Amino acid sequence: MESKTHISIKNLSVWYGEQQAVNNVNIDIPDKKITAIIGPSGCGKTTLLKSLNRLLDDLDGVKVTGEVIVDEEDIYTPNAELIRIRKKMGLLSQKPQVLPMSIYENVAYGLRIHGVKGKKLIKRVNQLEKQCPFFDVCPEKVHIKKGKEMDFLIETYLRIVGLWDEVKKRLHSSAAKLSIGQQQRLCLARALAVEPEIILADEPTSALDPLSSQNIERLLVGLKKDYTIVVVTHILRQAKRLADYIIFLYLGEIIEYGPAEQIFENPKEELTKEYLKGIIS
Amino acid sequence: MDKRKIEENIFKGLMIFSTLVVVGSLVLILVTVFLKGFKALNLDMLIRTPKGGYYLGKEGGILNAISGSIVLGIGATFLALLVALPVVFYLNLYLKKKSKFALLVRFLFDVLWGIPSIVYGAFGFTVMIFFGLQASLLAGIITVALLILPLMARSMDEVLKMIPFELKEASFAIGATKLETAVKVVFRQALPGIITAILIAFGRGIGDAASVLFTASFTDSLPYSLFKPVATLPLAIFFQLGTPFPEVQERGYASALVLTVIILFVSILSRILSKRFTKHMVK
Repeated sequence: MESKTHISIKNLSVWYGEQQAVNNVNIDIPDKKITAIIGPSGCGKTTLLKSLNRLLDDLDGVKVTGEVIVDEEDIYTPNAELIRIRKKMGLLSQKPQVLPMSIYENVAYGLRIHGVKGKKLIKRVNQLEKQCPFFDVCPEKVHIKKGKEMDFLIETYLRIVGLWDEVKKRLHSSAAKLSIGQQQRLCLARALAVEPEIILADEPTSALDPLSSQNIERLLVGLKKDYTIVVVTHILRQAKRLADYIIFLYLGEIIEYGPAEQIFENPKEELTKEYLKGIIS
Repeated sequence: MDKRKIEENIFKGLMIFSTLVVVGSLVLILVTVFLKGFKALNLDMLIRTPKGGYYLGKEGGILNAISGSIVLGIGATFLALLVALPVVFYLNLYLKKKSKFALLVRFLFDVLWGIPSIVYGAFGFTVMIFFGLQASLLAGIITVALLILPLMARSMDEVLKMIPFELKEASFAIGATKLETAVKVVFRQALPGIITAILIAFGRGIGDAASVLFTASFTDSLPYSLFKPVATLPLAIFFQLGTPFPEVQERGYASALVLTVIILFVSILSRILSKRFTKHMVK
């Protein structure tokens, strides 16, 4: 594989009580690419995804063995810092989960809990200003007034996800009033505001209408130059559109893994062929 | 007519009948209290304390009991809240869903909920004696707080249980701690339910006679010290209805009306407040 590895999964197994959901997975997820996990329902796609930022910790009777190495650090060692690990990864869930607060506060939440204020806030603004042209969405006001740094950050993140023009007049109204597609983009903005390196997306378009889905897909493709993206999907065409690499998971085991073209054009395993043809689903 | 259709109609009729019985008896209670109490109710009753011979039919009012009940109710609700909030956050955020300990705590709350209030009163009295305290506002507040704690905690618990795991997950995924998630996300989402739980508990506390009988005792003066006895409306009603004088008994009904109106007011307030705080709630 020509690309550098970002997340390295070694001998990972996950059990829910007696039932094994993920079975001895070994895989390297490349840096700044989109990796799609495909496979039939209930095959452990979401479990595998959530094991990457230890979101399984709070569920009943879950046992995880093996290693997940992110930036040369095993996130499952007992003294791993959960908060720092999760801060590195943004999550988009199946159904967008906005927080019970205003649109503005939804994006600000991550910044506030991670103590981004004062000097840190100004540093972040300077950083973002440099990246702005890159995102191609720089807010118009170049000169930021003192005390307005947070506003600038919020605006920029909302612009990155293409939500700014739709919400700029009602930043302080409830996020729950947004349409579901807007909510998902807000969730993405909220995740980006924490400055993650990795975006985990769990069937991020499954609750959305076609236009909103397209929006999210386009955003993910745009973001891959800066972020490592892992997306779970059961829509093969979506995987085709998005992915650089494909993981085909079947009953908790990786059947095949490789560059998207190779998997779609020339799958090696019989099961993969059958899944792609729609014989098994 | 078709047999199944008859069956359907009979049972539907029964259901409507039961509903009417329930609604009817509630209305009947309200009407009785209102009709019997309203005659004897006057401004004097609301703004004066009992003067000598009040319970024999002479002049005075029940301001001592009104103010006492409100102070005691607020104090007990506040005290219970201080305990209930940490407990329910612990149960719902720090313990896992199937935790045996959580199960035990919930079971204990359910048991405590079912204990009659006179038992709480007796317990409070024993503890008071043990510490050498006399019947006082403080002892009353503590006893009533214990009485309403299970109700408050379990109502809040049910509200917090309803919060989708995905919402908490969304907060965790950003790197929030459990405490941050509890205070900034779960609390906001549950606020309408929490307010309702607080006010229901207040209503239960302010209306209870047996728990304050020994612990708060009774007095003709307004509440002025945590360490002195305090009058409450339920006991005022009890004493007035217990006299042989019809005019004093009527005042008892008037007192009952005052208590009912306070509780009614709190119920309506809880509706209004919880509506107001649903603004940011995620459906």
